[in-house]
Amino acid sequence: MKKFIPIGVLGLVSILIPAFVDNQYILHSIVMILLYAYLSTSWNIVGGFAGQLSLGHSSFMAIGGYTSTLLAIHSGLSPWIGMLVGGCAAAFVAVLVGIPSFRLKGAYYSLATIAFAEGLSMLLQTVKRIGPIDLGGAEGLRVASIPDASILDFQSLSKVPYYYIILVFLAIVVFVSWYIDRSKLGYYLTALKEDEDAAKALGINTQQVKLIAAGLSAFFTALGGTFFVQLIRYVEPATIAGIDLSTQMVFLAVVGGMGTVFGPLVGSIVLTTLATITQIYFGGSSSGLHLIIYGTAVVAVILFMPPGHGIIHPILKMLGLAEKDGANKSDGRLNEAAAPSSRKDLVRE
Amino acid sequence: MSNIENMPLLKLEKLNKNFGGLVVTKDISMSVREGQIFGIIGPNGAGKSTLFNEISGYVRPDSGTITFQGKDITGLPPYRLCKQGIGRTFQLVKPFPSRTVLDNVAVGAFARTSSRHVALENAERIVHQLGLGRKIGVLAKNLGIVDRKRLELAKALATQPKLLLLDEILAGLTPSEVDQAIGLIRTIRDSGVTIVMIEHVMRAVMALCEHVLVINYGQRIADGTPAEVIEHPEVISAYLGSEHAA
Amino acid sequence: MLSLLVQGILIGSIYGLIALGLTLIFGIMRVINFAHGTLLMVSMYIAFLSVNTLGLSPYLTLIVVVPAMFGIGYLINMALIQPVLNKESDVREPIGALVLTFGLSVLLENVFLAVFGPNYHSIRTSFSNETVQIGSVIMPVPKLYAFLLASVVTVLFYLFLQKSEMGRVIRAVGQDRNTALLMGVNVPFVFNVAFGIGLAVLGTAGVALVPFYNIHPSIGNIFAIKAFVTVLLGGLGSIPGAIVGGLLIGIVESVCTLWVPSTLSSVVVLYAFLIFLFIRPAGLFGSEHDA
Repeated sequence: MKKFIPIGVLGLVSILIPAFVDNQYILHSIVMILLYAYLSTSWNIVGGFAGQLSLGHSSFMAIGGYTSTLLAIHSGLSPWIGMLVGGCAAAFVAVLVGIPSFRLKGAYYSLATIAFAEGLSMLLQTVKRIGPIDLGGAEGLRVASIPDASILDFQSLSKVPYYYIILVFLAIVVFVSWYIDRSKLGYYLTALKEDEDAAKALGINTQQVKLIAAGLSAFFTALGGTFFVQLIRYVEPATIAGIDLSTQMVFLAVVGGMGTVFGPLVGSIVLTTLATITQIYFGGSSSGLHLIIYGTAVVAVILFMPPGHGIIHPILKMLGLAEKDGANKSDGRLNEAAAPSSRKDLVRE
Repeated sequence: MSNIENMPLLKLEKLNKNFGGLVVTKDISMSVREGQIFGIIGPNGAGKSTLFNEISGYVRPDSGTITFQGKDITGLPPYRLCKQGIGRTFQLVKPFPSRTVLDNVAVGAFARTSSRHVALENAERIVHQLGLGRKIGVLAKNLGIVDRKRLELAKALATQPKLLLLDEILAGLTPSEVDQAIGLIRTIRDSGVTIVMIEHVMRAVMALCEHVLVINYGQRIADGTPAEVIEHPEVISAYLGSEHAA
Repeated sequence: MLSLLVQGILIGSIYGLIALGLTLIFGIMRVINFAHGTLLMVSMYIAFLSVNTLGLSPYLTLIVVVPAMFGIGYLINMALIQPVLNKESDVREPIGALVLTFGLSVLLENVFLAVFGPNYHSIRTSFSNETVQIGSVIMPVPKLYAFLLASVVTVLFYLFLQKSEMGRVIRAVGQDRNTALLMGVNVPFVFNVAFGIGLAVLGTAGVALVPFYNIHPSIGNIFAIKAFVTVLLGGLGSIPGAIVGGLLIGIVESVCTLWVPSTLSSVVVLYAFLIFLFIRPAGLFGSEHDA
């Protein structure tokens, strides 16, 4: 139960923030920080839990953003509903692409995701129309500004409604992550990540489990895509399907602690806040500054922390919430015949 | 009535497999009755583990059939076989290193339930049954070899198998540990699980197995009771006098 | 059509050269170097700086680029990659190494962006705009020179691997590192050298490109993707595969401009590759167990 105290405190504080922050620019920055936390947590479902390193996840944001926008333009459908449609479309695509991709080993899979996302981005930048539907090409599409917009229109002049919407989204995706983690699906995801052969022997249909994770991850990512589009009222392929967003989702989750429920959230908040503050003080010089920070953090975390660990692990230890290690080897004998399946075995050709 | 009683639980018929020209399994047939402890022995490299991989769905035989409970299961993937009641351990044990003993076993338990509560309950029971009670919260990567083998067994048992394939589970154990394990394996069989074991530890084979198949170069060279089989001249020459002290 | 074919072969030789380094690194160390494209960019900037500050002619920059890239490769492997691989040696899938090289790639790209700015740099040479005509085929001179350089380097590289002592040691380690270790080979050193050589070969590709390709911190990405496509097409770890794959990609890309606007030719290559990957993950020359 004491696990939930820090969350409760955080929750309370976050609800009260808009009351103390007047500056729309700062509020926008905070909204973006929360959006990144949301996106990296969504990515983590397939990247961290299932251990499938998707490096092209922004393609799902693009599917979400384009779907809701096009539906709004051509059928007048509310962006909220368009968002859900986009989510389902993204999940569908993720499963479709996943069926052949997941049979590939780790690095091959990552390459496939990069190729897919790059291709989609290029396609969206080049193809101006499909039949009567105008895709906007490289310039993208505008989301029409609705006068006296209400929250039902998924639009507002003030950033405050956006803040609460993303806060709710974030709470939902973190809750979903938490629930998955302790459910059968979570156990199965860990099993297939740690030893796929052993997982199969225990009745796990690893392909199906990976696809479920992929679908869920894509669904939530797409929702984030629609939110992003509604926030800036613009959908533009180079950004929304770009490598920059894909990279950030991965880095923030990895630095925070991929495979944990709160890792991506912590990683995002720490890194994006750091990047935002740095950007304010160094002026809008190079847009790549945040990536230098993230890239360095990633390299550092991987070099200096145990595999799969991120900054959340020492934080949990400090708060006294870390899982007990139970590290006492019962006998000093070498584990000769008991080595877990390792790369050493694979190399033994 | 007697037909059903005589129907073997597991039946292999003329299994063949070769890897790029190398024959690893040649015309292997065998028949395991329900409730038996069946042994597979043979020199190193004889193709025993490959046979297990064929039975448990990791390798697809080139020809031949495998029948389980009367149904053809040849070529089915491992997860389906587990659902049908075939469990296995691996020669190089495969724990989930960063999870606790309880969570490891729970993964197996989830094969029969979707409820977290039920899975954890069943897992806990099995953990205690196999003597891992005091280590229940220990991370698997911190276990010693004996406990890792217990864990390997526990995970497989949690899936409630009717047939359990044990791949050299006694390797690396001291004589007194082997004795403990022999008792444990008997208890498992008595609870209703049929066992097929690949083993090098002859003492255990003699003590446990009711029927033994001897394989060399992927082929059957003898089968019968342990007593019959060790007298067989071909078996003796295959092992070339190197009796395994156990 | 013939012209397009020739163009494809010219640029394909560069793709092959880039892929050579990548496939060597994978073949010997089983590491997928996601930073390969960015390191190509680095080599191009080194060449560019050598021309501008040292006054070297473009191809003479090899004197600077090759040792520099070798050194960089040696260091990167020693300080970054090997420690991570060692840490992850009992993990089934070393995701950490993948993320590391990816992170390094992003880091380098943005550092160069900060230092050199977002503008394109280029080198003007006396032959930049010249062309040569053989029969009905017109070839731009810089691309022809690039092809020649790539061919020479490829042959030298092949000879090195097959005939030299170091080359034999490298191949041995690639085949069975444990046995090599037992035979007294200093395996970590060999890994560092192999990585260094992989990047040195990459550097020659950079030098070949500089006379006709504009330099920018993010040009590495598209070459990287094509290099991966090439390597996977030819089979990870296969040298002839990388060469053939590169030529094929170059030709496909060039020829498909007959039907598709050139901006989309990359998309065609990408998606064709994806489909191919699903059908035959081991590539044309790779061995099944790598897939």
